[in-house]
Amino acid sequence: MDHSEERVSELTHQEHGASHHPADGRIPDSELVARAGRGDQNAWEAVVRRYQEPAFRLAYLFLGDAAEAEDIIQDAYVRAFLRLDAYDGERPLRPWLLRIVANLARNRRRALGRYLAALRRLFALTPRSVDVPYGRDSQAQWEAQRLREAVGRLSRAGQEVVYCRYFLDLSEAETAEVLGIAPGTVKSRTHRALKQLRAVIEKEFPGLRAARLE
Amino acid sequence: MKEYEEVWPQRLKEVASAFTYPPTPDVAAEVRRRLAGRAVHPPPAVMLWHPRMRWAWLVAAVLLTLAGLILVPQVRAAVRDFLQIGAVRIFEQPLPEQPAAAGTPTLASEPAPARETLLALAAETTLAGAQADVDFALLLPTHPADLGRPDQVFVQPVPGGQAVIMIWLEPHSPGDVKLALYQIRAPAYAGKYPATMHETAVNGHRAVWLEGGHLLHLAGMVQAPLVVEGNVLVWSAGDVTYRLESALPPVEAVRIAESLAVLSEPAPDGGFENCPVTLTPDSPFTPPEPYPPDNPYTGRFWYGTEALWVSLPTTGGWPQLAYGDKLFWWRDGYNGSEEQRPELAVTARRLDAPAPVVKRGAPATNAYHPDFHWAMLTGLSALTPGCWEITGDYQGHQLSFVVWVAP
Repeated sequence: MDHSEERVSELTHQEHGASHHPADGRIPDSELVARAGRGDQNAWEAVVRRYQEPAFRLAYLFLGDAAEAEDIIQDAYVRAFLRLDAYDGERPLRPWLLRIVANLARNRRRALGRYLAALRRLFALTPRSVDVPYGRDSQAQWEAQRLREAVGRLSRAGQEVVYCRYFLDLSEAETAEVLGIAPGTVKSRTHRALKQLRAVIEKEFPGLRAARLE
Repeated sequence: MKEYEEVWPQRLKEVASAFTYPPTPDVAAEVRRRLAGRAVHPPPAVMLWHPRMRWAWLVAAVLLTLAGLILVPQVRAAVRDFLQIGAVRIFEQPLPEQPAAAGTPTLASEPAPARETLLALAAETTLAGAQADVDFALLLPTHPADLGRPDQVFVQPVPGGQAVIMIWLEPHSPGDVKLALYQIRAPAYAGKYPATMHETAVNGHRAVWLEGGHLLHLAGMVQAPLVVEGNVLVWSAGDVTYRLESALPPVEAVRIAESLAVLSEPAPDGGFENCPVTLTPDSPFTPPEPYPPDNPYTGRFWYGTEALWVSLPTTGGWPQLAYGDKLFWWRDGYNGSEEQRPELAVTARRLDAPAPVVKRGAPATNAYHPDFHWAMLTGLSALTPGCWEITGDYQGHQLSFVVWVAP
């Protein structure tokens, strides 16, 4: 737990006494959102910290750039705070936030950032497979990096569903909400994407055979 | 078959779980700062160094690189069989399969663009600000009637010209783009490799409708990935190229395209008569000493209170504000040598037609003249012709007046 959550937690206990906290002792999302809706910046800071890791990773997977991903999640949290009235408190908060992140990341691709992103992906397609930025010494990390490159060859829709389901380990229902598509569409897109991915790996990523993903 | 259906996806998940992400940045403090400062419009010097500008700087580096690449003979040779609509080239051939030529420069190997160029880079602005920055008339859709003004406006220098991008967001879905309108004046911008392409017309001008996902080709690059997912209508009129991106069907996109009208609404007929301009009151304000009791300039009168007053034209007309003019604001006891950057903010709102609010945030600067003593000084520009209410705010003391801005 980070300091911000601790601070909010203390405040909550002072104000409300023993409230309906989940088993892990964290303040429920719904309570944080309610407080944030009343202008409590500490509560929103706790929400930011609670979900900034999956948000950042989603944006990073979509955009392939840490600086852009950071910008996107900042925007997402600002916009989400300003549009808390659009949040249905009965539904989970995480996919709602991640959907905003996904939309902003898509928009970044569509808008000015497309030119930069296009060029980056262009260079990512050129052969430079020996240049692994992270985990050079780890076979598992090397395989994961190669897998990411293979996923990058799929259609945009295929990439998104693979990132959500297999990299971020989101459920089908969460993936549907994050991507704004029906659960049935998640299933069919996943099926198609995996078929394409397997073909890409067979043809272009022989190194992944050791990972039994050939 | 069983392995493919069950084991392979599971193995995929295991491999993906080892993916190493960059460290997650802690954005809580920055989010808090941005929320707290939403109402504040930072001065340009701050905007240029805002973290969000990083990508824009890189975009410029890319564009400058591309401008050079298109001059390379072997790259130019690959650029053929295209349909040119204004500044946009639409290629009718599939992309070549070969990877980029050896030696293709990378971002890292490119020399940094000139600082002078970077300082003028793409930045979010207002409609009025964008119009002031480009030398062609910006257009806005008048259809659908409830579309309203764009939520975001960007000005982006491109090789040999300028582009303005207007973004309308989905009102009920934060983050979703409803419509993006590009207005480009440049000799060459970008090419596309459409999945589906139809020729059509916008107000009699040749236009192209690109449907579904298509590949974006960047001015001379021989290979590019799938990047554009919306439907795009491209047409040109005069030397300006328009590009409308949305999820709308073609008929509706053409309707929007044909509805474009000049950004600066002309002042309505009889507008001056209907504009409640601030005229000399029956009992004009008289400033305290040592300020001159009567306005020292012909055709001007004092207006306001001792807490804040201005010098206004007796006719109610102030045409210079369409181009840019200084505004002097006085208050009793103000001394510019002691308070060089007074906390004065000025806002201008058009009363007779929709127009972006023009703001000049605090601080202002100062001025001194023996004729009128110390004054606070700010400036306004790019007010569209019409009826404007201008409000000054100095530490909670407000003063508003209405002027007619027209030639």
